[in-house]
Amino acid sequence: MRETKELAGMNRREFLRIGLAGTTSALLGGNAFAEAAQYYASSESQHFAFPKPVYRTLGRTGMQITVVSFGAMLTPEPEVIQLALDHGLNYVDTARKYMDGKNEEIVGKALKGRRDKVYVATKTLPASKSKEDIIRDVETSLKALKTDYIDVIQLHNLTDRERVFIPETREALTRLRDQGKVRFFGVTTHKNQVEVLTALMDDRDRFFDTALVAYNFKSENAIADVIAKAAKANIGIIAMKTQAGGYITEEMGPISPHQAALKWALQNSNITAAIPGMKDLAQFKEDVAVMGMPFQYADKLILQRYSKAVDPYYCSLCGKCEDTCPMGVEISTINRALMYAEGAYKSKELARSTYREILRSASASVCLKCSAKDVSGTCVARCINGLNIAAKMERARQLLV
Amino acid sequence: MLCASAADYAADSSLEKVLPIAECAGDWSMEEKVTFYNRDTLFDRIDGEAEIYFPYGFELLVSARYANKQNPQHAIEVDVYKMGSLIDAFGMYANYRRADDRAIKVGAEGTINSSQLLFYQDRYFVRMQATGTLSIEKNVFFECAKKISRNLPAGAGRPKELEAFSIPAVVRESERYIAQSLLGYAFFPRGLMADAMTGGELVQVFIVPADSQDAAQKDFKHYHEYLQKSGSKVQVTTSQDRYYLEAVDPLYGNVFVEQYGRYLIGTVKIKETAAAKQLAEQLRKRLDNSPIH
Repeated sequence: MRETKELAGMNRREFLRIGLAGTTSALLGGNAFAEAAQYYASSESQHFAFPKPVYRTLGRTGMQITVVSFGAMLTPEPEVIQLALDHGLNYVDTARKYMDGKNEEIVGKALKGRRDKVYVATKTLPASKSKEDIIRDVETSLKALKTDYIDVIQLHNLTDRERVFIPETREALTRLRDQGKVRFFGVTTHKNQVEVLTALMDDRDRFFDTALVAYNFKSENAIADVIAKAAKANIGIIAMKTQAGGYITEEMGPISPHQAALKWALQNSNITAAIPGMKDLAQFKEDVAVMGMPFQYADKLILQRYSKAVDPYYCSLCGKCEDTCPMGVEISTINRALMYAEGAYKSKELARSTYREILRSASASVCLKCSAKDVSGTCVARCINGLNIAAKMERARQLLV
Repeated sequence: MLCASAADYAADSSLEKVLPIAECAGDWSMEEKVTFYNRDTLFDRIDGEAEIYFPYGFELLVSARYANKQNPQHAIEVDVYKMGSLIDAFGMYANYRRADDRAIKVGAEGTINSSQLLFYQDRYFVRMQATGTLSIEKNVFFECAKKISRNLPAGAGRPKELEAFSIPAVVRESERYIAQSLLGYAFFPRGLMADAMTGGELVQVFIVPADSQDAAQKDFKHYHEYLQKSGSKVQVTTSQDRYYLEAVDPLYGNVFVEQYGRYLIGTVKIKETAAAKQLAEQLRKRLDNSPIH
């Protein structure tokens, strides 16, 4: 989830453009390029052959769902979802919260005439815990989705183990299942995922059947480990945020790191499916094309090169470097201002206004008065991710002062 | 929770005093302080839904919770989003507006139901939601909304761009502004859509404004190519620098599109092309009088 925080504010195709303007061949070697070029790229105006659906079993639910399933949160047109369903995608994820319930209405329109071919997952409101709240949420979702049952009802955004065990919540869910209004129970989690997934396994009743987790090529090993344990316990695992933020494809020519990232997540057999958000037909085609594709050497190269291209520029804004600066420079805020100037935002105005918020005594100009140097004669401030802080501050002085 | 720094907050003086500091309405008073979220931190407030806001030029969100003094579990969560422009604020409003909600006179346009009030004013989109309870009295929502409205820039009204849809066939309050991928197609970068009734049929009309006639023709060509690649039978005609297209769209069925100057004007889900042509003619006249920039 750290990556998501870091990249928040950029949509998935905007991400950092810095350092990605090189040619495709700079990202891949010749043979790898040829291999990749065969299956990457799927703009709307090119001929596109929809792949044969690939299914995996969602834990103990027994549901066979497509490995690339539909995250509907960002989709404004039901027709795009319908096209996906008509080409074999059979699992759609939405939430009561998305667009204040309007997203469920959009999904409801897409389901018309197709309900028996599709598994529908939605989520109760994040704050809902009481029996009344849970029942109200589900009843409202059923109405919005224009269906009489939900396949997977998920508790939204669990951040600790406590909510896994609330008796009232379980009572409500059980009652709804007994009434035939929901079939299976799940949770979603972005934060403290290890704790939440461990709680699902610790639960003697094994009440929850599925977990929707943030999982991508930048995830810590601990996430993969706990996912493996949960899958072994027959909890169905679905991956979200497989992109670790977002990318822009144009700068990378026909090579899409988005597809590589999706394949990376799906190569883990403990993941039943991923639910990338699909705003439009182009994104749908890009995502669905991955079904059945193995994660190959070319993909590995793409992700490696991509991460490498981004790393020298990318500040996680953790602020730990500021403890090492004797002059009290607000390094992370300055880096954020630089990101506005040079990153996806390309906004000098936003960059300068951000920079102006910093007190002069904590600005990059203060570095010029600093006499503290390390043995090699450079800035003593240290970034845990290896960013060259002195160079960043100099760049800030050039661009923003 | 990550949120925008005090510096972000201070940087936007226009949002400093938008939310009532004490009571929002009657017995509903602010809990703790207002919270600010910027592009970096919006995910902390609304998770991945944040992505919907970015194409509409989202800049800053100011948020507060007003609890009921008698029953503190009942609260109103108020979010004021500063968007890129008036049309962007309208676009977000239209994304969230639901057909069965009641219109309410606040801001440029607003809707209300038992658990939610939405409105936009100038470049600000306002969402108010009941939490901890199924419903909140509408007059409480309304009173709070009016207070916020008074603190926002006044007088902008509805976006002028919507005047293009001021024709009898267009269904009122069905207009939408899509800032990215109109109709779900990335080659239509932005545009306006609305429902329209023609000959007893409900269809959808759309306008894609481009920067120039050349750019509009390029958009037209993209769409034409896409339809051909999709296996659709496409009929294209041309007359006096204008192009017309009739086809079956894979997502929307029968479609008629006209390139007119720097616009594409279209109708989807139609049965009769003649009716679509009539609609296009009416929209063309409106665009002559009220161009979209």
